[in-house]
Amino acid sequence: MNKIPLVNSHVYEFFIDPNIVDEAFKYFLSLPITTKGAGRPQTGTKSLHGITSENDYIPFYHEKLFIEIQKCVDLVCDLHFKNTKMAICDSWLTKTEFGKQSAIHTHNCSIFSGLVYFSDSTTPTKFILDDPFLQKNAHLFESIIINQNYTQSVEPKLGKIIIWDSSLKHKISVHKEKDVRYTLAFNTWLTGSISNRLTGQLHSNVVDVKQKNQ
Amino acid sequence: MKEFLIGNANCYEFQATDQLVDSVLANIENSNVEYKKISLNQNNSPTMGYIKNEYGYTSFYHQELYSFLDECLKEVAEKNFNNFSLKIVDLWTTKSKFGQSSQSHFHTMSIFSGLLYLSDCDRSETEFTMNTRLYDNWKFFIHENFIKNKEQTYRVKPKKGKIIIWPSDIKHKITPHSTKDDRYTIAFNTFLEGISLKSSARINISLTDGCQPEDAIPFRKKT
Repeated sequence: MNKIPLVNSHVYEFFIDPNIVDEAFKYFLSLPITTKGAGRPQTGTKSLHGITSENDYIPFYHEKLFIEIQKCVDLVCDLHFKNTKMAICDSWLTKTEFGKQSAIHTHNCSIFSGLVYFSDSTTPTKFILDDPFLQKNAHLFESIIINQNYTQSVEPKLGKIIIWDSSLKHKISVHKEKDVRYTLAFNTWLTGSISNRLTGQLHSNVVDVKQKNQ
Repeated sequence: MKEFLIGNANCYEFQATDQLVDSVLANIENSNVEYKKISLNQNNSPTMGYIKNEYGYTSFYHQELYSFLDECLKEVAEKNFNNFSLKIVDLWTTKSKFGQSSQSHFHTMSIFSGLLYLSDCDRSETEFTMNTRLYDNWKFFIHENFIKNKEQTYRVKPKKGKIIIWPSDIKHKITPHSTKDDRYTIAFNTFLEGISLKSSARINISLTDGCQPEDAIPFRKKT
């Protein structure tokens, strides 16, 4: 029996100059970072939510790196929207130590989300698509349906950027390496003249991470 | 503010004064409102009115009405969102002549939509429809003729000054207009504006107002 998955959601993968990524990473680690637990306390991954300021956490920003990220975001945006731009509206580091993992989660207040990997690692980012058959029929046949969620793993590699629909469930698998696993995560939102159609005009101005750093 | 349900969606009703409605009607008559067909696929559909100017079509704007709707939307936003407000991004007039009706539709690029009825009208109602859960769950198994009440409908009778606000994804239509006087309404769309400071969900959205003339003109000019 062949099993052919029918999946209409994609994770977009890009590779950028590892030197830029490395430079940005060293810069980020030199900053006075605020650390907060991400998700449920028992999961153990740390999210480093930016530079401490009195009123808010300032998102992470490194000009050279974010120029490259924006190019990737623009390509994804062009695949999905007509004449619309996406701004990177939030960014933070994640830090996963030996034996830790993250809970399954999605990203709120975002259209597409992304990750930049700062090093090679065997601890993947795992995406989970719920089984639509189970969702439709659970109330009738729950006890006899075998849950077959579709999962896809992405392996971290220095310089790799991935971008996905923010509503996709994902997690960091259990980290079994001694070296700490770091990534930069980001969210996006539509900005500019989104629609000029009669009865559907929408023009939004989203403050991006560059503006938040000024 | 009164609350009512369409299916399981919370919707809201407000009442504008006769004085405000009369002022809006007078403004419509005196403005350079140009009417276009709502649906290109339907011959006998009502028309929607925008202000025609050198930059194209701009939303209808009446300062007093806009301020009143803004107050209504504050109450709706408080009921539904934390730290986000609802801002009017598009506003237009609709005009139905005798015999005209609209196809079922919903409003894109909008979170909540609204209508202000500018006159009483006994027969030409706004009809909202939502599929029943039974139909949604089983439509591929059972021929739709065998399911009674596959759509829940909710009708709103136009009354001068009545304002209704509903989630924009609910389908609705105007039932045939069967009196000689033209039926006028103001329709509007909204979107979220505000700041979220939640970790990993921080966002700061502001919107260019599609209705304020000073904002709408440069917006139109760009295209």
